[in-house]
Amino acid sequence: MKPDTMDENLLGYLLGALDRDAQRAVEAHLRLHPEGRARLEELRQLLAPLADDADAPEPPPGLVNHTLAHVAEYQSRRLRVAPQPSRRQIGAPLRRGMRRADLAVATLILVLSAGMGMTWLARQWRDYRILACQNNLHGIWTALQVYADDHPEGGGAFPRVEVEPPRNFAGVYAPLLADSGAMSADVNTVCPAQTPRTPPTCSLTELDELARRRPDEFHALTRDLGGDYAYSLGYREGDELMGLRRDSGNLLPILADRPQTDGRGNSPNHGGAGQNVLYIGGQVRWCVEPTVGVDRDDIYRNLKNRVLAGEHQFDTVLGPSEATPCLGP
Amino acid sequence: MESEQDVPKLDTLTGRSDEELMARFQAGESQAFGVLVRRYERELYGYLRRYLGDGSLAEDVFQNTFLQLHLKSAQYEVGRRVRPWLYTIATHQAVDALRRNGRHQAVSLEQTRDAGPDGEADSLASNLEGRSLDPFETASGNEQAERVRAAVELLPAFLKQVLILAYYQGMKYREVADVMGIPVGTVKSRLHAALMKLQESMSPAPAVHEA
Repeated sequence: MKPDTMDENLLGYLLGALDRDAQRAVEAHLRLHPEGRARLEELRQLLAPLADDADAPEPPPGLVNHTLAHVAEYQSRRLRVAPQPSRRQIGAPLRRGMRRADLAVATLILVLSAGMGMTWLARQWRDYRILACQNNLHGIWTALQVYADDHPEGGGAFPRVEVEPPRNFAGVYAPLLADSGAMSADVNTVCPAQTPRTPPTCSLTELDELARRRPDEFHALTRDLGGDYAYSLGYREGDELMGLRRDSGNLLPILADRPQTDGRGNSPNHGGAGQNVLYIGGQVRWCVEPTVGVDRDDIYRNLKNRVLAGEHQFDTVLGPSEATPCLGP
Repeated sequence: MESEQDVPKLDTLTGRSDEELMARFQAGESQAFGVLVRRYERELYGYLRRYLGDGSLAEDVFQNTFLQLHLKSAQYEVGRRVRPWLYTIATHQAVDALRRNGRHQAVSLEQTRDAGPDGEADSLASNLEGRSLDPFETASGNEQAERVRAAVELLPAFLKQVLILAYYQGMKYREVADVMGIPVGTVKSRLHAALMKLQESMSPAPAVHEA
């Protein structure tokens, strides 16, 4: 083998870029040739500085959402507008029955094609909003993982709704994540299918202070802090209220589009068509029914049909921001 | 949109291979496309950011790459490996973007396909002539990472692409060859040449002795 060729193969060997046969050939060469091993070490040194810049550049916030929007926008631009009927088609006097029939057919075609176009466009936008919403949930899941890393009990505990005020409502997950530094600024708790708005923010200290000094404002805030998403109210274990942890099980829902006011049926976020559900394991699924917990458990109500904490670990209840795990005094 | 009425299973879309996702997307399951975008967000953006040397341009090219993937999805042949295909689209989009921005170094993906290693070395030498890093610039840069980035940035596009794909993106020679549409031997020689030039440009400038 020519020296240059061997150099190239040694480089590939160091990078793991060779196919299996070439890799074996280099290994055989290295066993027999001490000068090859020396050259390998030289090349290793040559590559070493590159490792100083090995960290992949961080993508800008919202890149996935922007990309999906870019594709959806392009698709909608390509949708053709139904052509206007020509003057000859509609302007001529309708003296005979056939002309009226032609006009009726033309009109029907126009209505149908416009209707189909609108339906297709509406479907594209609905799909985009569902995808963008899933992206939000993925972002929150990442924040939940960071939080769990800092709370190692049970392999990592997620934010827990408490029994007693002021941290006794589902939406408290947002300030808990934000205060711990787990939630980056680009994570959004507003569902993209809803009116764009900036959800209120509040530190835990401010929240405690507000509950003590201005209860009315505090109660108003509990309705908005969790954004458009419903978070786990936890479950009862004896007299204790337990929160979810990593070891609770990957298939347990932890966050979803918020439910209707009475907790029945699908979320209103996507027009009642269904809801995105985030599971502890990180999966996000679009579900057309709320019975997608363990054993077809309704994720918005407990076994007693109440929007309160679950009756056991696998009785999932995801409450809207203001929901509390226990009945008040 | 997929109907989900059963107890959730672990084999969700996020656990599917690229090829399965592409096939599902082709079959009308639009969520699969979103999963692909998310999966490649960091990796492909990283490639484009390094290659283009500009975050804003890299973002545009990333978006256009997935737009092209969306538009070309009907051409996808089931079983074809998605990753090299995606990189090929991204690389072509990046070259086009550089060309539009007037920053292309006049080296297309196909250039020097037929040239031997010697020919490449010559053109490389002329390309780099007079373009070594300013010693004052490098001396002022305390961060080694910045020095490396600057040195890579100075490489001609056809060497930089190979280096980024093989080293930073961890591709095998065969995959780099597929992405760039060049023979494996050319990939090897370009990578070797890229490293030699990097070594040259990052070596300290010889001291100037006063008479």
